[in-house]
Amino acid sequence: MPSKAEKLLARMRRTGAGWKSKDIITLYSGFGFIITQGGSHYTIKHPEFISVRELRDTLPRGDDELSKAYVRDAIKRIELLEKLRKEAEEKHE
Amino acid sequence: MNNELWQQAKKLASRLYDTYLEKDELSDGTPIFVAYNPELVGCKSQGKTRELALTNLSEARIDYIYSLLEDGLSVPQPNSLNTVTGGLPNTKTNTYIREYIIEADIAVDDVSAEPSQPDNQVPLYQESWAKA
Repeated sequence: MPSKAEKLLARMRRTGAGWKSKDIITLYSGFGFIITQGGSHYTIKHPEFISVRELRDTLPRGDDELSKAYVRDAIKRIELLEKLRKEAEEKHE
Repeated sequence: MNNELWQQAKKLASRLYDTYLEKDELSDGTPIFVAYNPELVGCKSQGKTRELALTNLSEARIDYIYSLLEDGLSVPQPNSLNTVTGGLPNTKTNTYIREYIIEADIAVDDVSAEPSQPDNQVPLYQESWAKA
């Protein structure tokens, strides 16, 4: 059964419109990303792949409305996470 | 927050990173500028004007670099320190930025589309130098 985050990801893949900052944070959290409050931006990283810079992101803290680029990038980042997890599993087997 | 790391992040973030600006839109269609540093993957910000996007990016850059330092990771050098800039404006301070105003829009539903990174593709852009 798909998780809440997986359902959210599927909806974001269908349309990049109508999403707010909190939705992107919910998405990242659901896939295990760590969200840290910086000075003016949140910083996003994944604990399983701390050294993978492509899994890092910054989100403005004050803006509820975000550019569609954030949705596009979040989707790509999660696709990369899934790929890296799969590769790690294959290596482990 | 570790003040020493923060000061270090501020210093590193003030270096001359390449800066790209893209025209994008909010979910309700309102135009917005997105600014990012290609050397720092994932470091970006936005603003209703170019100036605001660049100001916000300079703040995001500090947070991003702080996060790298906190995790003991190396901070990528600005391209300006790695490449010969030839006839491009040379400045000893970080007062000049490179702007690419990308006119092409990428369909949001096309998740396979690469972001407009000049490393991956050559977008239609106007190149100019502007004082920050």
